[in-house]
Amino acid sequence: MPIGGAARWTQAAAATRRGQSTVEFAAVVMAFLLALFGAVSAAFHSVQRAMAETAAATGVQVAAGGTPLSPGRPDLAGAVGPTEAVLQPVLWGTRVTVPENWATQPQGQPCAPLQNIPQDTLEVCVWLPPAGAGQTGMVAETVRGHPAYVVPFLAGLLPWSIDVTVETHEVSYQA
Amino acid sequence: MREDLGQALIETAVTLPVMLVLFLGFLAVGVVAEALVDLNTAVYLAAASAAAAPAGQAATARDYATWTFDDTVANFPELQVGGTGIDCTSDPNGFGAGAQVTCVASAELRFDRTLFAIVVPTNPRLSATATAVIPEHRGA
Repeated sequence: MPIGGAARWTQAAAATRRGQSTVEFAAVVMAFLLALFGAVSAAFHSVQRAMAETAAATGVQVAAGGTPLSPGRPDLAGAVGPTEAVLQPVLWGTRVTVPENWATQPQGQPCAPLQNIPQDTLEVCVWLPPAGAGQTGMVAETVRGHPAYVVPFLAGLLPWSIDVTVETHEVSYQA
Repeated sequence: MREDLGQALIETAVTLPVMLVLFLGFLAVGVVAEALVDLNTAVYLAAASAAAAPAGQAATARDYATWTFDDTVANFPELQVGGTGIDCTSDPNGFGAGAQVTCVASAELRFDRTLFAIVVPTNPRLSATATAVIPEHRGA
């Protein structure tokens, strides 16, 4: 019987080791997948943020140019379309919105605070900053919000957001 | 069993800091790339603003460029502009119609205010250059 007892002990030890290996493997796989998807998610966020900045710069230049009928006045509404066109290829399910009542305000309107903008939404805001320190005629554009996730289950773990604001001077037309 | 536990602890103690430094290092590279995009955008818009000023008015063109650059960079608090800020010149001189405007600026990326100071002991200095042409139709 001593041989049988040793065999049972060996089997039990092997089973324990297998169980331990499974638990370790599961933990490592989880950590590996989290790191992998985290890196992919960070890369996508980086691309989206860079494009948001390019889009805002494009839009604010359109706004600064005015319209043919009123060249001396920034075309705030005209900035949204070009901004959205630049953003579109990297939106991946993100909605682009403008602030409520925006069209009725001649000075435009800055974006809502980041926490008030829902998930999967980017807000585009174009407005005229108040003149200060001798400077006048500036036009500003903000792209702010929470883009949709390419890896949805990471949304809670990695709360990426975008918040870029650029400014430029309106174009001075000459007679 | 106790020896195994001790070995595992030492391995973890060695591996964990290395992984942390690697992780922060990768993130720091990303932050530098984003800061470069920020600085490039600010300089690009400044050059475009200078080219949109009334032709032949160098002081106004420089004001437009400075306001645009300062106001845009102010929205990126991780960038600290030192010295004179942005410097714009035109070729030929005088910011007249048809001239090419070149703007140059540099800024320090303030890693020392962040967790990245653990892996990057210095604040990298970034610089950007942008050019714009004042349209011929902008008059005298």
